[in-house]
Amino acid sequence: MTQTAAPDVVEPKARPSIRRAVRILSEDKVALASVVFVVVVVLSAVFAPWIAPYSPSDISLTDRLLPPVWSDGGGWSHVLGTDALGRDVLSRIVFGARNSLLIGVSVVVIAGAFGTVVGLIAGYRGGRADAILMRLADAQLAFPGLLLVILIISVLGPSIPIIIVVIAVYGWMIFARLVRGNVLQLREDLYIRAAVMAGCGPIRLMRRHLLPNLVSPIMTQAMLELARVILVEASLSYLGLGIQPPNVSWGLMVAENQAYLREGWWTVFFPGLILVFTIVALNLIASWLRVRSDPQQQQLIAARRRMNAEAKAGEK
Amino acid sequence: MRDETKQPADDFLLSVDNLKVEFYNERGTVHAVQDVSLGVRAGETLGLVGESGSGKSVTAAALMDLVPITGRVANGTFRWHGREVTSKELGRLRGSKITMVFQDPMSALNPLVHVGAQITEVLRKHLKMSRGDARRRALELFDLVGIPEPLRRFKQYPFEFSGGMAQRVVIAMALAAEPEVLIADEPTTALDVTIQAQILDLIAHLQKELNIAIVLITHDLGVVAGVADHLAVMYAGRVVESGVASEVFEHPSHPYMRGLLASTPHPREVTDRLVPIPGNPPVVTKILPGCAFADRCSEATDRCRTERPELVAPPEDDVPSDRKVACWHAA
Amino acid sequence: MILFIVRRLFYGLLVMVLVTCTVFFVTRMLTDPVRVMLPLSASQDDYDQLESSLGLDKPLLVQFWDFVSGAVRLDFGDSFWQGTPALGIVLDRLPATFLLVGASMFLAIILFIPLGIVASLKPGGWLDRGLVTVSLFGLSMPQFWLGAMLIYVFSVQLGWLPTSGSGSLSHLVLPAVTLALTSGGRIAQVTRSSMLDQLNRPYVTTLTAKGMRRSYVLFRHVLRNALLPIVTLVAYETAFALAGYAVIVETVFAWPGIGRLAIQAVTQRDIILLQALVFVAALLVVIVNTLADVVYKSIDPRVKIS
Repeated sequence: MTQTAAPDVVEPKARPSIRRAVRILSEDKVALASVVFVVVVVLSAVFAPWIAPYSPSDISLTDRLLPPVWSDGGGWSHVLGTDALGRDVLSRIVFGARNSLLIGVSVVVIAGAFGTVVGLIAGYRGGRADAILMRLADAQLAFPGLLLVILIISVLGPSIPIIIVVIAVYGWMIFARLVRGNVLQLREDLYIRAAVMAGCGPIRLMRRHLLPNLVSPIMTQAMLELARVILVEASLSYLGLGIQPPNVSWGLMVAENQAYLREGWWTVFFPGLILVFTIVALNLIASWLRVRSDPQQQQLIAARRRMNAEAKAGEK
Repeated sequence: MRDETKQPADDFLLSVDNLKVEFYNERGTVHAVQDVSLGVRAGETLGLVGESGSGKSVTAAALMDLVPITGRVANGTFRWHGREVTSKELGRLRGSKITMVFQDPMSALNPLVHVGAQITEVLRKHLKMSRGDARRRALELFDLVGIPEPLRRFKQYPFEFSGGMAQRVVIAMALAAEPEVLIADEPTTALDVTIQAQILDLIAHLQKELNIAIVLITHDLGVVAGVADHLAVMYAGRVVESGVASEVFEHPSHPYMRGLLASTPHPREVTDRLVPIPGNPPVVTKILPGCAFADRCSEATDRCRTERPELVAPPEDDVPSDRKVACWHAA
Repeated sequence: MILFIVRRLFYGLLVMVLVTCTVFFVTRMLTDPVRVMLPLSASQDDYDQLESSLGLDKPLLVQFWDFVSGAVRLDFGDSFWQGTPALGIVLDRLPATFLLVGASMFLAIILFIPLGIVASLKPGGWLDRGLVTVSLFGLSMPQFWLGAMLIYVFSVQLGWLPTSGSGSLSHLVLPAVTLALTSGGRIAQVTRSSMLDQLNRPYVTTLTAKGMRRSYVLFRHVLRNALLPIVTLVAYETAFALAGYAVIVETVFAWPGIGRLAIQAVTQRDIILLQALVFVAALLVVIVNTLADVVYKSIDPRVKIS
């Protein structure tokens, strides 16, 4: 007779494996492209000093406003051209990714962690705690967002930690609401109640049973929030309240070069373009994640696909 | 008793022959209804019985051209008053000549529109009534289905009704245009047991008064026991037994029907134990040879697994002509 | 209904109180506002002078009381930069922002809601997929970039429209379009998904079973139900535009509204003006949200007064 440790009363939900995720991902070309793009951006940000052809602050007054390689006067030395101070646009974009991603990821991690904890408490405890916490979240939603952020940053100074904290405070509520909603639903699930009845304490319950189920919606929301935060940071940098020179940020690049639109459209176009694609890619990943976890959606899509195929095959 | 020489199809108000309905999902095709033929006569109730997934609701949907976009009617001959019609033409009779009562009244009604309007719109569309006439008739209908204080209730919203009351509203909606056929798909499943009896009584009473044909769909034998005139038992997309209801209840031929009866508690009998049918009904993604019930049948033989039994009259003499069973071991 | 409005306004008041406290907390307790407002070369005398003139040498509680009572009386003090009452300056610039936000919301609604509705009727069709793509890009585009690109194409290259400033209808076009495209993207998304959600509901099947025609079902039932999330979103977007996007768009196009004023106040280190701005913006958001709640309640009888 083998000795086995006393098994859990209920098994926690199985986590999806990464290999399986990759296989499923390859079915959806758009989502795959998005993931690849984001990975490229992240890698460029991480390995920026080794990838970028120039340093972002290499000023060269003789090479001002050179057009991209495919235009007249451009060359392979500056693939995307140079800005008003002769700095290589491509290099600045690569380095700009660093700051944008640093801030973006930090904010999402902080806001996500804080929001999740609040949501767990609110959803699990219910009653008074829930009401108070949600009132607070709702009230904050009614705050005049960007203006308040502008006020705070202008008063406290635009240093990176301040920016991160302010944007995080600005956005934790969405995680709290999401987690709370999910916990409220999960609480009613049979296996959770069984675990509680078997004497499972709250911390253990949250860790082993609630959190695994929350991973999927939180990840989806995190993607969306990352997209949103990157946009906010870019806007703040554009307004002069975000990343400060000599540091680089995509938003800052647009601000610095808006005056030179006539002579050098590429200095504004490319930083913005990469912003757009990054945000679009993150949004696409988020919606792919969401569709993946909704079985009803899956059925509808599959049914439609089949119907179209059969219609084409000439049946009816 | 039916005259043995008469064709049963002659006096059906609504009937379908060889109905085949398929659904499509990411894993393949689901053959929800494979070969179903049934019909209903004026003033009579046809009980369509089966477990979830037997195809009974899909059959009803097909009769009204309401099959959702994820599926389609692959085959079937529809008849209205004996005359052959297309599925589409039947669809045009929706709401006026053929109406439906759904399982959950709360979700069947538009939560943002007061119930009175949801009835008058039927009257104005199909009977071309004026606003005033429609309103008056709606109030009469409220009376007919037993809703107290009709004037006050007229302006209320669905969420202000209890389940049973809401179902009465849905029934009123279904009767508004004076239909000939009423299809009730699990009309009492979402309701409390005591309310169930009330609603069933109401339906039976209305049938007598208005002489409509009713198709009563349910998984609960107790529901059809007192109400149905004829019975059709479905399993895995096919009818496995049919005939006059009282007959089928007293002399069930198909092992499945016998199993259902054995597993249904009878309020007046004291039994030692209920005998459930082992296993689960299949979701038919591939049409296999043989009887679909063979896996769960205590009397299954090799022949059952290789040859599918047709729905025919049982072999004995002295049996009413519309009695049919699909089993090699019909008792 | 009156009771509902009163309750909502009361809630709004609560929000205003919270905002006021937050502003106070940040400007007085997390930092030294006098130091922020003065240039680095200022002397200790300058510091003392400014401090006492602003009443910032008094104990915190007294300051708080002054602040709150001032806010209630709508007196925020004189703008550091211009010397005139701060609130007056803000109110002066408000109409310009209203015009901008009003025009863009109008554009976004008449363009993107109908598109969203039509797209939802044939999900997966070309219009649907096109709209989904366009709205995705619309809401992903940074307004400052979109604005700059539009300026490049329509002002610099084509010369059809002025690059910035205000004063005529042609000045309004580019800023309004920029704002409309971003908000519109989200509005189209929500319209489409709300419609799809309603179209899948059982009551629609019931209506079809009742024999009602498709167009009737759509216009008399589905649209009305689908409107709810759309109303909420439009209100949210409007509030967000007033208190947020306006800042960016007005800066790109040098449009003289409260958004641009905010940035100017930052450059001038005028915290007094900023406080007044935040207060007014908060008030606007509360009003818009309350209006939205009222509209919502008049459509949906199930909404309970929380």
